[in-house]
Amino acid sequence: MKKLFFLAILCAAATSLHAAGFRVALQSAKQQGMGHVGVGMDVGPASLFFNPGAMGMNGNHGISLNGSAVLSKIGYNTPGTTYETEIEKNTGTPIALYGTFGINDKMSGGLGVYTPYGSTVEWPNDWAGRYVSQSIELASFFIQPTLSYKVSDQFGIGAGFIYALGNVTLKRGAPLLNNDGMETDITLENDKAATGTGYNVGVYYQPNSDLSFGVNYRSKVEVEAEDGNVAVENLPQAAAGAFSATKFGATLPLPAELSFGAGFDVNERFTLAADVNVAYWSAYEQLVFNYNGTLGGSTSTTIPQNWENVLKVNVGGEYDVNENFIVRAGGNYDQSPVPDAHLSPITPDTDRLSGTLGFSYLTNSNFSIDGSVIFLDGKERTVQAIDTSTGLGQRYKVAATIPSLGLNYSFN
Amino acid sequence: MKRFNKIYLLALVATLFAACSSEVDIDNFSNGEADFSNYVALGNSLTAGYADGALYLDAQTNSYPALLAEQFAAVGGGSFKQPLVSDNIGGLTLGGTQIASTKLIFNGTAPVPASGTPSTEVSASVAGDGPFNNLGVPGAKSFHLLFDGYGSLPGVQAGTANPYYVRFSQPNTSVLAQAMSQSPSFFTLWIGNNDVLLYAADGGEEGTSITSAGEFQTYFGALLQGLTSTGAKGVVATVPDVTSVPYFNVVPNKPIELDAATAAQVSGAYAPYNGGLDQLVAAGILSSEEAAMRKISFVEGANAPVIIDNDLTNLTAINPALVSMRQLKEGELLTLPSSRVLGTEAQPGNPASVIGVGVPLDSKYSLTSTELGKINAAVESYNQTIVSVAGQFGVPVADMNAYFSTVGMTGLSWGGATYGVQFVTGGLFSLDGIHPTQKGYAAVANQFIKTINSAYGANVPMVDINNYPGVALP
Repeated sequence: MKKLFFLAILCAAATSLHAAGFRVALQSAKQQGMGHVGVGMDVGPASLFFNPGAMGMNGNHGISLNGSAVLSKIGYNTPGTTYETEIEKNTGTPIALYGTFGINDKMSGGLGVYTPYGSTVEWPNDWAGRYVSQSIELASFFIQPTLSYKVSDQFGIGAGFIYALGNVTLKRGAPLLNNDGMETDITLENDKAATGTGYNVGVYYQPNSDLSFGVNYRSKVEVEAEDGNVAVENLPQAAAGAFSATKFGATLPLPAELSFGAGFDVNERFTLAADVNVAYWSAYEQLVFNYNGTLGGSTSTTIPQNWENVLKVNVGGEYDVNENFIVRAGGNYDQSPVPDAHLSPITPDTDRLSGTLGFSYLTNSNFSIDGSVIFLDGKERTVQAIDTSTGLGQRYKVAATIPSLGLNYSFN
Repeated sequence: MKRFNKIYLLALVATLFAACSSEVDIDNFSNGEADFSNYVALGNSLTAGYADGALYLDAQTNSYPALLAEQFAAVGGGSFKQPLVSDNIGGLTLGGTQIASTKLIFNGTAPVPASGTPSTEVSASVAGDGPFNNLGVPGAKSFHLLFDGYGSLPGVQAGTANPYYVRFSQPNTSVLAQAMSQSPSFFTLWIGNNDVLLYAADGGEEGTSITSAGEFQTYFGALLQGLTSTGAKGVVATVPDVTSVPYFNVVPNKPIELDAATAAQVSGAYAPYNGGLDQLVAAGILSSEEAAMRKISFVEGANAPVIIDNDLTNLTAINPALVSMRQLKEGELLTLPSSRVLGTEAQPGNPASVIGVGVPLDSKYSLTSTELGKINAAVESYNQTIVSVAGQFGVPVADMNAYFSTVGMTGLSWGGATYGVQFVTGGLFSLDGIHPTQKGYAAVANQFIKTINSAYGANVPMVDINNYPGVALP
């Protein structure tokens, strides 16, 4: 039963690539409506993710259940050719669940389950870049028990422990043709979730009732996959000696993030906020797969990545239309951490600009419902074959629409 | 006010939806100064799409001229017709008798001819289905393209006509004349390989001659003069160094593995031969250099085979046992077919008659340094001629020689795959060891396109090499 629950969450966590790298910035339907800001504000239970320092400021108990549907499209062209294709249609549905409770006047505790990293990019099986990637499904979720301490009415600190679980399936072709005219396909899949640990800490400062600041640091988490399965299809018998592997192991770094945020109440009804986020993708230097035999003639595969640290800037605002209705708008700019040389169809990444809209409907009881939609537009990116490490020229155009829904219940 | 808000919101949403498109803007392709409306290709087996030792439907369909025409179609290219053979196993029949073998397939250890009977009959002319844009003729040398009887059916048995050309030749015409009768706007010409390759593939046999440098210059000049006479633009290509193909490099220079006892035994068997050479040196009949080169000895481990070398001084009149044989030297090459005879017994059941050890390997299976010298000189002079004559007629040159030598050294990286020139596994050369695979032909097409783009200010799209098959394995 427990296993089934994990499985369900892992399936749900799979999401089409929509934030730079393979980060998933969909942690609260409410915050998604205002550009996904949330570090420099008390945003309710979701502060467990955005800034544990703000989590205990109000001392309330609360539950927040959030789900998004990622409808993404990626168009591809090989530069210098007329070849065009696009990724298979696929709707990712990442979720973010938070529960917080006030232990006493000063102390709050909470538990969060969310998807900070994930990606599903499935290309047509016979497409031009199939020897680099046919598909990737990367799903992770973090389980984060958290404590927050309200030092004063102005100042709060918080820390959470992260237990990470991840699943990955990678599929690619090999230029080996059998006598039936079929090409070889290689699938790497870990059937047992890869695990890792980390932490999430934050401080929150509210000099007066109109102004607030926050700093949040989420550590790097290395998820280690062991005993993953290697499956090879359509392999010519004559090449069997070069494909003896049945198991693989790999380590994937999920990078640290440092965020600064601020919130400002312009008047009683209108709030503005902004976050600046640094993602330390330089931790992703290479992806190494080790095999218990040979795969394509070698016992390991090293894919250089050499990604770069990047900035993301979020801005947003919310307006209380009346006691029951809040509207939001915002946007963000998200830099791609992937350098030209290592751009690949596993992570067809580009700089992205998003616009967001959202609302909340507050019932007169303690229940509220949030809705939002993100419109994401990636900048077209072109890398010539000669400038890449794989010899695959690539031109991508990324676009996504991401509606989401949040249900919240809070009580004293 | 509220209503206004809603309308404004809707408009904003609509705008955002429109901005979020995943449509890529592909390159702007153009024909530049070239006119691809009527493209004609001239050449030999490479142009015809010959692979795996045969002309068969799949490889012919993806011949490099056909791939070029597909790319030209994006920039004003016209239709392109090829004299397609009848089946996918290749081979030819003449009056019902098979005269060319079926394509080679890899059975796990060696290439073997595909089973089946060819259905392409030479005498069943397809000329009426023309005009054909691909006039590549397997086996053609430079001068053949100028020869009026090259497609005459009666000439096949006489050896003056080419069965592949007979199938689609107009009556009593040459390949060049047939091309010009179609008023091409653009041409490719890749010729000269067979002028030297056929000599090389036969191990430098006397019966197969190399076209002389002077003759090649004359023929190549005549071809380009004809092709450019009506103002057509085009591109020509250099001849790759024929000895860089797998056909001459699969069998190693020292393929004979012997243990110490056997080595001593066979060395001993050559003692009379070695002693006879010493006597002739003492008598002043043979130079000591030649004697040293001819002496045969085997060691434990890898050994070069004993070969017949007809460039050695013929001593059989003095002593019939002193045949013109020696061991292969460093840098000399064995042909792919030598692998079928090396190590086999010339007289079955007689272990002393192992070919390459007890019995010399026939000279047609090896290229000696003398023969290699002639081949290299010919390739070099042809390529100088190609460059200078093309310059004279203002036709750009695709340097296939440089390209294949680069690929031979560094491999070809394309779309996540790395290909090389290794036999069977490299991906670029088909099972005959001489002709490219369809992947290899796609790479050739891209070299033509690069030359065309830079010479004519064009931007013709490239071919995706990964879309075409290499060597299938069982």
